Amino acid sequence: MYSLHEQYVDMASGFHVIELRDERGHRHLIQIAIGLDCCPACGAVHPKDNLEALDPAAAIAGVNEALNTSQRQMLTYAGKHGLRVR
Amino acid sequence: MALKVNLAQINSAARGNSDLRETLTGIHLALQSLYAQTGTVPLQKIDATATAFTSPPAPSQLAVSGANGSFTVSIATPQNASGAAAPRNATNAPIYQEISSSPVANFVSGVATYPVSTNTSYVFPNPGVTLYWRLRSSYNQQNWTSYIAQPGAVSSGLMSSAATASNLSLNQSNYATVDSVANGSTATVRIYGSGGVGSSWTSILGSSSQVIASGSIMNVAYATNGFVVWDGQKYQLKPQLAQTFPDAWVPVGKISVIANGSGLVLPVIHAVVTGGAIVAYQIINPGNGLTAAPALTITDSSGSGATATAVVSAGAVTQVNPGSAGSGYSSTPTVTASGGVSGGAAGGGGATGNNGGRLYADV
Repeated sequence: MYSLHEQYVDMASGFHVIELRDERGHRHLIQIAIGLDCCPACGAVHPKDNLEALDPAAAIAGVNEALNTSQRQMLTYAGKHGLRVR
Repeated sequence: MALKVNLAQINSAARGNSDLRETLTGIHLALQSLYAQTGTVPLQKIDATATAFTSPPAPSQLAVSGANGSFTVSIATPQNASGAAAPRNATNAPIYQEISSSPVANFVSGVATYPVSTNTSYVFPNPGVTLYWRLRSSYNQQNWTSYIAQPGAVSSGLMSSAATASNLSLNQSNYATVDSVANGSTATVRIYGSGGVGSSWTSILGSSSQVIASGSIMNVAYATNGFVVWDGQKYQLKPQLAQTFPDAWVPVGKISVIANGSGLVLPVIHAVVTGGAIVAYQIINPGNGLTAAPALTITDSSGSGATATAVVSAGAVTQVNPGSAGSGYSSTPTVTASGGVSGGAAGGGGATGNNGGRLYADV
């Protein structure tokens, strides 16, 4: 099942980067855009104006649940047919 | 046994060494004098035209051009010239050419002299420089013509990336799908592989490949375009390609996040039927939020064959152009508008990344 591996804010790109991993090493990145590219030339990033309304925990939970639902369905299939999972 | 050595052979043997040539020539002349005095057979001069080789040839013509990071040198020798007046060596002897270049017009510094050869065309890769060029010619590499200079400086220009492998595939494929879905007041851009949302994808470049994690980029504003690239750690969503991506970045695709579906109102259009044919259309509601002309489908319990097209301006239908009038229509055919947005379904839009590394919009 997927779970939170690490998260950080990348100031250069303006993303809150959240990495989920499952026990087999599969990765999925959730990136919440908290900044806008304001200058293509110099790469300056300015904060978005809706940061107060963002709920990262809910975003993580939502994506995590979607991934795990998908994974559970495959594991159920494997279990039903006696297949090895790797 | 007579010693059969001629001046041409001496010139050839002593090529590039004037002291040796003069010494051997002196010995040769002394032997001839000695043989004349003793009555023995003097040293025979086999090639009667050998003296002609000691004089420099008529000047060759030099033409140098620069493009794509290389200099292209072309030399026209007198022997290549046509016409009776063209200077020509009697034996069509090869003409040695010595090309040299310099960053300054008077050739007082930075002179590069290229190997002497009888070739008449050269390509010197040397991107991004501007040089002056000159040429001198010789039959024997000892007696040279005066330098013939190419007028003005020549720039080689910069080498384009395409020139390194003209018309060859970069063999880069990104087996990623990029799309977006509405997520409340903002959209979520998704990057995933052939296994569906949440599955990793593979980027192939030449003989190497890497598996890249799937991703979800949240809080993306509607009605924006973005180029999705993988920077080695995470995804970047750049609004435009005004900047140059770093070499290590992997282009994934372009995403067009169109307007929120809640703002899209499809038009309501009625058909006007006369004698079983649709002769006009009445716009009941012009719609709102349209970014492309919606498709109009006309259905009826009895009639068929009618077609029409809508014209959109400022997000609404302003005109319906009848096509075929059809026949057999009842008085109330149904006109259904569909689409009306560019870039796929409302709230979405996307691009498939397996496009050889190129970025293009799926709109």
